Order: sequence, then C-alpha cells, then structure tokens
Amino acid sequence: MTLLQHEALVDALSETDFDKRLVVTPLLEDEQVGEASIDLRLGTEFLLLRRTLQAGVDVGDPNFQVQVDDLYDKIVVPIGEGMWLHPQQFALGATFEFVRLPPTLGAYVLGRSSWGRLGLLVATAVMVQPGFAGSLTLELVNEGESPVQLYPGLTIAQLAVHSLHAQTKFIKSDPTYRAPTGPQAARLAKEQHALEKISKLGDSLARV
Amino acid sequence: MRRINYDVMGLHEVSPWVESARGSKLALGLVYFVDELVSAVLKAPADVVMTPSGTYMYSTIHKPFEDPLTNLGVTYPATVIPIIVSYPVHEPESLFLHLIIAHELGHSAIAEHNLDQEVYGRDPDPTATRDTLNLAVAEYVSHEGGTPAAARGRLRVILRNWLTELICDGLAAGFLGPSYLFTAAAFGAPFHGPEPSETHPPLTLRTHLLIEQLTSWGWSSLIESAVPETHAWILDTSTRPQQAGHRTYFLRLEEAIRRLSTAIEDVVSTHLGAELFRPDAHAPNADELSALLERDILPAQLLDRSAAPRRSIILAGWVHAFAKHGDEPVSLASIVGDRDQQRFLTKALEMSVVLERWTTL
Repeated sequence: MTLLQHEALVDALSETDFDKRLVVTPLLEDEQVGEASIDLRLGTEFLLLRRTLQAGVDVGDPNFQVQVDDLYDKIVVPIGEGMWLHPQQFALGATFEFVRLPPTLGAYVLGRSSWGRLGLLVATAVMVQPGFAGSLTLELVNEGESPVQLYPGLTIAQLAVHSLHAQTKFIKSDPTYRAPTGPQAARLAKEQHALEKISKLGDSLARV
Repeated sequence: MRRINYDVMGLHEVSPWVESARGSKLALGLVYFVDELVSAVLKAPADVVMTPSGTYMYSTIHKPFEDPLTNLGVTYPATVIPIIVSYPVHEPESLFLHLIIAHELGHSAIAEHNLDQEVYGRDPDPTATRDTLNLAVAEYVSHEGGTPAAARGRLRVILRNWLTELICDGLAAGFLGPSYLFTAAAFGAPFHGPEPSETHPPLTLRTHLLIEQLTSWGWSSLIESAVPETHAWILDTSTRPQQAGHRTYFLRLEEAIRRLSTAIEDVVSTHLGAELFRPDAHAPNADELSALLERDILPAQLLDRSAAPRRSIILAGWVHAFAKHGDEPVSLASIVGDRDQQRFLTKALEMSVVLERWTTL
C-alpha cells in the first residue's frame, strides 16, 4: 500500500481507460491536486439533524430506517451563499466532487487542518473503499465555541489516495450507498440483519 | 362586485407563487438549466418562478397581473419579464418531464416576439389556407350552429391555439433535440388520446411535426439507431388519423397547419439561431458521456476537463435510460419513474454549470 504522490495522482486522474481511471469530477482547478492528496470542496446539499417526538433511534426497531430518515431536514445552499454551523451542531454535508475509485485504489477522507483549528470536524468515516462511486458524505461537527459559516465550493477536506497490494476482484455489486450525489443518511440494514442473528445467538446462549 | 371577487380569487392564486419565489423546491441543476432555457428560448431577461401545482400539469402565466396592475397605475417590470411556470406537484425531481418547461417558455417567447404572426407571414399558400378555413367555417356552422362570422372567429382562435402549441413544441425540440421527443412521448401518451381539443392540437399531429422537424435538423439516424423499437412506435403514433368525430372542421384545421409546417420550422430555426441543437454538437461527446453513465460516473466533466454540455448530458441520459429499461414504448413510464437516475443527471447539470462559470472567472 503506497500513498499516491502528485504525479501519480495526475496520471490516475488522466487515465484513458475508464475502468482504471481515478475520477474526481468536476475538478475546478488543477491546484486541487496537492503533494500527496486532492483537495475536496463542500457541496451544496446538507442534512440537518432535528429533534423529533420519538424516544430515540434503535437499530433493533423494524422501523429503524423510518426513524432515521425522520431525523433529517434536507436543505440546499447554492454556491455564493453560506450556512452557519453552531457550536455542537451536527450536520451531514457532501463533497462537491463526485469520486470514483478504480479497483486498484483505496482512499481516506481527511479534514483540512485550517478548518480543524476552528473546531470544525469534517469526516469521521474516513475510509473510501475501492470501487466506490459517489459524492462523499461528510459528518460536520462544530466542536468550537463560535458559530462557523460554511460556504459550498470552498475546499474543506482532502482525499489521500493509496494503491492496493493488488487489484481487488471483490467489488460489491450492490453497495450500501450507490452513486450518491449528496449527503446520505445512515443506512444500517446490514446491521439490522446482524442484530437478528445476534439476538438468536443471545437466545440460544440463554438456554445453555 | 363580480370583478372584485374575480380579482380576489386571482390574488389567492398568488400565495403559492410567493412561497415558491422565496425558496424553490427544485434541484439547483434544474434551476440553472431553466436559466439556460430562458436565455435560448425566450431571448430576454426573465424572472421565472417555478411553482408546484396540483391543478395543472405544466402551464405558463406570462406577465401575471400585468393588466390590473397597469390599470391601477402600478409600474409593471419593464426589463425583466415575470413568468410563472407550474409543474406537477408530485414530480419535483423528474428532470425528463421538466423538459416540458422548454415548451412552456415557448409561450412567453411567442408573446414577446410575435412568432405566431411570423409563421402566418410565411404561409406558402395563403389562398389555400383561406379556402380550407372557409370549408371549416361551413362545417362548423353545419355541426355547431351559429353564424359564419362567429364560426370564423372561433376557428381562428382554435387555429391560433394549435399553432401556439406547435411553435412551442418546435422551440423545445429545436433546443433540446430528440430528448424533447422522448419527453413529449412519455408525457403525452398516458394522458391524451388522439382527440383534438380547442386548446391543443391532436397528439398525432404534434408527434408528426416533431418527427418532421427533428429529421430536418439531422437527428433521425441517432434516434433510429439508439431506440429503434420506440422510434417505430412513435412513427406509428404520428401517422394515425386524429379522432375528430363529427367535428370535421378539426380535420380542416389540421390541413391548414400541415401547410404551415415548413413555416413553423423556419421560424423556430431562425429564432433559436446558434442555439439550435444539432447532431454535430452532440456527437463529439456522445461516446464519452455514454461510457461515464454506464459506469455510474457523474457525467459533468469531460476528460479534457471541460464542462459537459447540458443538452448532451440530457440526451445521453435518455439513451442510457432506454438501454437500462429496454427499448420499448412501455419503458417511457419506467424511465420517467426512475427518480435516482434523474437526480443523478440533474446533479450533473448543476456541476456542469458551475464548472463552466468557474472557467470564465
């Protein structure tokens, strides 16, 4: 596993074979490709958390997905406008760029330190799997003491891309998030199935 | 009192417009694309408010309240034209259906540029048109009663209504190419029979003229090769006779319109000018856009880093959708119902516009 440096990133972005190309689109400026990462901009769509009348969110509830979807309000902030993120506020945003990794590459999304120094956390689920295609959802949290104005179009994160030991043939044909173009609310269907199995395991252990 | 009541009812209609003007529920890609449509089709600055409607499918109000406000001495906007476009309340994300907005803006283009008068002015055989209308007047009086003068007035209104719709179709097809044909087929087929009405020409005639225009502009080979089955069905639809029933005067109006078809095409081509969408503008990007769509890659930026042209994104999107859902007429419904793909394409439109503007800074 090797971190791709500037020249390798440029080559990967310019690859003429679509199936091998690293896609970061639209790339507004060549300068976004740095020494060993690609700067990513903030997109225009956000999901804001809101308080509901429900007791909470329980992945074991059959209506879990309804509960989760009910947690968010979608807003669109056009380029040229801004959105305040208040202290301790959590919002889902997405990268302006649509990213697609070939099966030979993996990546990590990292917040830019300049924003981090204001208390803004940008991403918590940082690993991007080979074969992923879509805008990357950003978990935005203001851990600072002052509201921070977020402007779509500004660079907010960076993508560190690395090669794999070998090309993986294991690319999920039905990924959890398929070619998203905006922030995606949590999808924990797999975990719900796992919980059913764990419950059965619990039952069988209780009888022992 | 009746007048006041009428005006108050009209003002109630404004409420959803105000709400829509404050914040559109439509995706940014569509909002940007409507700006592009205004520039190309209307060719004048306009403030378009798109508002969801449960009453109308798609409709346009050009310069709302111009007369009452002017009568009250209120200065009406002179430089930016206010236009209200309604879209179906349940279809905010249907990019493919929203292409009808190009047709709707055509109504404003006709009002601003007198395109219908231009078509009449280019009638290749005014004598024949007059004779045909005379026949229609006689048939109207025979079936509906009334005086010939009243019948002539009524038929002129119907002819103008039909001509207006057909010019709007022509403007939309001229700007959007085959994408508008597919949209018109998807929108028109489920809701309209071949029967004409006093406000809208028969679907068969509309389809016939669209095919004729697109063929003239060089699109037939792309349509035939991309969707041969659907193309055959659309062709078949366009050759069916209208079901005028006892209202045979509708057949005469169709005769008159068919005689004006070349004039419609000429007026549309002249009006759109360089904005007329031609196959040679789409061909250089078609394969790359198709390859991107096949791989679920947002088709916003081409390999040379330029912004993908919006009309090509939409047309490639239609062709890709047929490949995904099958080349058959019934797929029109499933394609329009594929919200995920249309959201995807709308996002590509947004990104393409942003990229294009960025490079001009």
